[in-house]
Amino acid sequence: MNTIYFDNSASAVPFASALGVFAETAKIYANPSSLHSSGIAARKKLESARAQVASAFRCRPDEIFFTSGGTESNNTAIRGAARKNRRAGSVIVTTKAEHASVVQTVLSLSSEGYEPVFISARGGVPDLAELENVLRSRKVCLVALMQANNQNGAVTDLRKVRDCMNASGTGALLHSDCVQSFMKLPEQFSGDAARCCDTASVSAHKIGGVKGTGALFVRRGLVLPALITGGEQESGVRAGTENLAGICAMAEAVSRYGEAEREKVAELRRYIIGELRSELGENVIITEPEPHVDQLFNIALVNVKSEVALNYLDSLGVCVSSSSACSSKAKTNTALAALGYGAEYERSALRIGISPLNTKEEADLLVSALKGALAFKIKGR
Amino acid sequence: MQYVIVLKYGEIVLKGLNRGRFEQALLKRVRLSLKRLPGSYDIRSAQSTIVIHGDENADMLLAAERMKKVFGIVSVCVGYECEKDMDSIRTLVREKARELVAGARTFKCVAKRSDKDFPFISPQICELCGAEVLSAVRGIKVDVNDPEAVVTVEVRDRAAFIHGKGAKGAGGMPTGTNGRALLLLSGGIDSPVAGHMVAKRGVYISAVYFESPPYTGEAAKEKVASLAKVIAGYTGTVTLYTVSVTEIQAELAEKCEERMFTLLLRRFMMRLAQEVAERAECTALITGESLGQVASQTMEAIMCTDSLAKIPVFRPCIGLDKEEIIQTARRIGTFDISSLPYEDCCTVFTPRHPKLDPTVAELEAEEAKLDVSGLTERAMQTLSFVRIHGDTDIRN
Repeated sequence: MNTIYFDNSASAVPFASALGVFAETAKIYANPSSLHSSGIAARKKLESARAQVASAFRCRPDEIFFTSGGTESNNTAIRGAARKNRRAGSVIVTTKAEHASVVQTVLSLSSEGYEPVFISARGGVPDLAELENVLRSRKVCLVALMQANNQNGAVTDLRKVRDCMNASGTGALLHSDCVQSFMKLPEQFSGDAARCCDTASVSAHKIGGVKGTGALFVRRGLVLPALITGGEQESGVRAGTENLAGICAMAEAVSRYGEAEREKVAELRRYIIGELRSELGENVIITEPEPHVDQLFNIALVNVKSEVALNYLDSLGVCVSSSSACSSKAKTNTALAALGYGAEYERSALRIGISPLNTKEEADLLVSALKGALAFKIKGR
Repeated sequence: MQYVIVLKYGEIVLKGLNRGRFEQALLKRVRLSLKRLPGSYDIRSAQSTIVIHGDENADMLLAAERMKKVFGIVSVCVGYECEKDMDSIRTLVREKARELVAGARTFKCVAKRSDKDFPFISPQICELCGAEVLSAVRGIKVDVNDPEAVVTVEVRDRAAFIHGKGAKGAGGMPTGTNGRALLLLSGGIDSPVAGHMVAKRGVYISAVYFESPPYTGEAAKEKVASLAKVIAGYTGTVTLYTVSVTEIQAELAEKCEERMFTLLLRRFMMRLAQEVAERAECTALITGESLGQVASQTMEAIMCTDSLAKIPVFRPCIGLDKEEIIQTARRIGTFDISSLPYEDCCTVFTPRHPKLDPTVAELEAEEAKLDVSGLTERAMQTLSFVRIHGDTDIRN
């Protein structure tokens, strides 16, 4: 049975060229920190990958620090920025719609005297009036808001967030989880994270690289305390020998993910949504926030439980998510609940994640599988 | 110096003329539990005790861990063996004193002299060996009433053993001495506990899981297999049968009254379980029911499912509170697996207001709307099974 993979927001199908670079670079055994010529050659590869990622993020290479992925980047940024900016205040503002690696990290800082304040994020976008209110009334050290929501793809305009922060006169730092937006943003938003944020997180395996690699953007001039200590790698922000193969594969994925790929994903999205509307009619609710990233959207099959639909689709080899994959083991999905679509929608919510490697034929199979899942409606339970 | 393991029997010692059969069964379970471990083991039984020696490749500590899960054994002691003379015993106690008391501040000596020809009586052995411990471990004191450590010297027919307090064994009767039963395993907290309780009485366990694809998925099935694996850790192997009840659930949802849905499904499970039991050569069923815990486990509800039973149905959790069941589940290692959130087939179609006082006649009237034998037969056609072994925690 062929796998029809539409769970690319949990982990994307890697580009063949990225896998090639990974395999090739894994043969380079020298440590990039070594001073012999093999080590220097490895370091050159590393720095060229850094330049590639920085150029895609529209920042300077010395503002990119490689990590093990989005979760580590979020941890390093949030813990580091909160401690660094303690003088500005002890309040950290975020939303319940954030990824667990943001929400749980912020909550864990309570034990160090920080106070989490959650502002609402209906539809996946934070309420900026609420944000301004908190910024004016409380002493805030950090604001953490994701750029693209991982449940429905809604894009938060970081320029407006920064304007709001500037207007309030706060001394808070701004962190953004850009894991779902990196390489996938509509043109008008690209470069926003580097322009507006103090720190931002990205991950390789969401853009066609391999797992175990990510990056953290830290604005020049801001020096974060390390989360992982024990070496001078990554300018002391992240100790440990660099995962050169993963990093070079990430750079390759970045270079492969261009305008043509974004257009392909947008076209597939339009096609799938069109087909779902015409084939499933009233039986499907599609949430399409504006603005959004094209590669992910959320739907609910009316009266078909997410898990049942997922099991049925799985039996046909079709993969989607019932929620953000990192929280699928939790009994209730608080990130989805924060979007305010209601309990009935949440019970049936499915997340479709598109990759530029998906085809129209696969989209047809996805739609027909979703249509087939309607046979397993359980009304009212 | 290599360890030896000394195992004590449980209630087998109370058996009369057929005690030999139980001892042989226990030795077989001990042998099977050690079969796939590194090294080779010499297993001997005498005087209500099993003594295990290992060769140089044997992992005696891992072997002792295994022994804690063998039903029929009440205590597992890891210690040392020596010649049966007082000088050798005293030398060994002196050498191993620090290890045996393991940082305790107080200790006492216990002597067991099953060889009554040994020239020293128990109090003398205790006195001499206690003196060795006192001189070898600085600062330790004797406390015969509430000691932190116990140093035991056993003088047996062929050799002497010294060991510490020993760990509690699994108790019960050796697996296979009390027939075979089929456990209705749902993935919840109660049924694995029920299975363990009956297995402890020497019953060889097979299990049946009722799946309902796509309402239940692979993750739920994996969860049930993991639970079966925990039970297999005690009994050696569990054959896990799977039967799909999707068609039955769909028919029930379409044709029957919603309030009776759960009980009607449970009656189907009872019919199917008995057919599986026959194929699996099991002569009883085991369920995790606890009286009054949910609507389908009231006395009336149990009567409605039990009325179909042609073989005994064991419900060892019947008088236990949920908290007591959870305690056992934690102890035997099934609680965390049972707590995983995947749907099981009972919860998918749970009625909003289940009937609390159903009668057999009412349920039969609902069943008259269905082709019961056809549905049962087609469900049995989906039967599949997998053998699950409990021995993959080997460190090699």
